[in-house]
Amino acid sequence: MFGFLSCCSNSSNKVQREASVISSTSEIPSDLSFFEMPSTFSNRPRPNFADYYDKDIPSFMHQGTNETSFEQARPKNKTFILGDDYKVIAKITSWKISEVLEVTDVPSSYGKLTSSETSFDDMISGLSIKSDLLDDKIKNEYLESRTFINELEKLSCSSPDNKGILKEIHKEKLPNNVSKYLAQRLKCDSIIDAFCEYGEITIQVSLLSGSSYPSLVG
Amino acid sequence: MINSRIHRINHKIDFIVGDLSNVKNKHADIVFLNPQNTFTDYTPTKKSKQQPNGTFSLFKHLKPDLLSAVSQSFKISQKIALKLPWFTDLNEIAELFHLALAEL
Repeated sequence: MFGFLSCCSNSSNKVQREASVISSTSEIPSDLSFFEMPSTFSNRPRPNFADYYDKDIPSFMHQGTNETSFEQARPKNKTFILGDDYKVIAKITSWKISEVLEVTDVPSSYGKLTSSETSFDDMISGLSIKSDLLDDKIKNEYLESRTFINELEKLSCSSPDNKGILKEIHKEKLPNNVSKYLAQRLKCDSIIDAFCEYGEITIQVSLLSGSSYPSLVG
Repeated sequence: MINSRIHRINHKIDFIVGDLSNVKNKHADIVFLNPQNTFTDYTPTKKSKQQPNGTFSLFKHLKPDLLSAVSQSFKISQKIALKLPWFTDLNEIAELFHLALAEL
C-alpha cells in the first residue's frame, strides 16, 4: 500500500512536462541542515498567510477547469515546493511545450516569468542560489542536477517520439489554490495525509491552524 | 519534510514513512486519501468538460488499492476525505465504503 500520488492534471491539451532536478546521489542525508536555506533566503520576509486565505478561491476542484481563472487567481507569493524525496533538490512544475516555452506555475521569486521570453536556461538560472553561500557538497549536487536537466531538455525537444518519455516523467503537484481550498474544507485539529507526496495538503492545513498535524507518507 | 521546513511548520508535522496497514496507535480527526489516478484514457480539453473515453473504476484505476486503504483508515478515524477524479461514479463510492466497512 505504498502510495505515491497527487496528480491533478492541467486542462490543456498541449504537451506538458515537468522537470525535477534530481541529483545522482541515492543516499539519504541524515543531517537535514544540508537543506538549510542560505541566510539571504531565510531573511526574506515571509508572506502573510492570514491575508492569503482571505482571498477568494476559485471554484475549480477537478480536472478540465478553466486555466484562465487559475492564472488570474494565482497568488503572488507562490509557494516554493521541493520534493519530499531527498533526491529532489528542486522542482519545476507545469511546463508547456508548444512553439514557445511557457511557464505557467513557477514561483515569482525565481525571476523571469514572462511566458514568451522564459527559456529553460532562465528557469535554471532562476533556481540557482548564490554560489558563494554554498559549500562544495551542494555545489556538486547542483551541477549534477543541472546536467540531468540538460539531458532531460535534449530528450524532450529532440523528437516528437520522445513525448512518451515526457509522459512517463509527468507528475504534477496539487495546485496551491486547490490544496488551500481542501485545507479549508478539512479544517480540523489533526489530519493524516495517507498518500502524501509533496505534502501540499498537510502544509496548507498546518498553515491554516496551529495544531499538530501528522502526515503519513505511505 | 523539506517543504515543511521551507514553510517553517515542520514542528507541527510528524512524518511517518511506512505502510498504512501497519499504522497503530494513531488517531486523527480526518484521514485524507489522495490516491494516484492511473486512468490514462482521458484527455481534458480547455473548453469542454467531456466525459473520459472508457470507464473509470475506483477499484481498477487508482493505486494503491483504495478499498484496503479506506478500510484501514476507518481504524484510524471515523472521518475520511477522498480526493477523486470528477468523473467518478457515485455508485462506486457507495460500494467502496460498503465493502470497506464490511471488512472491519
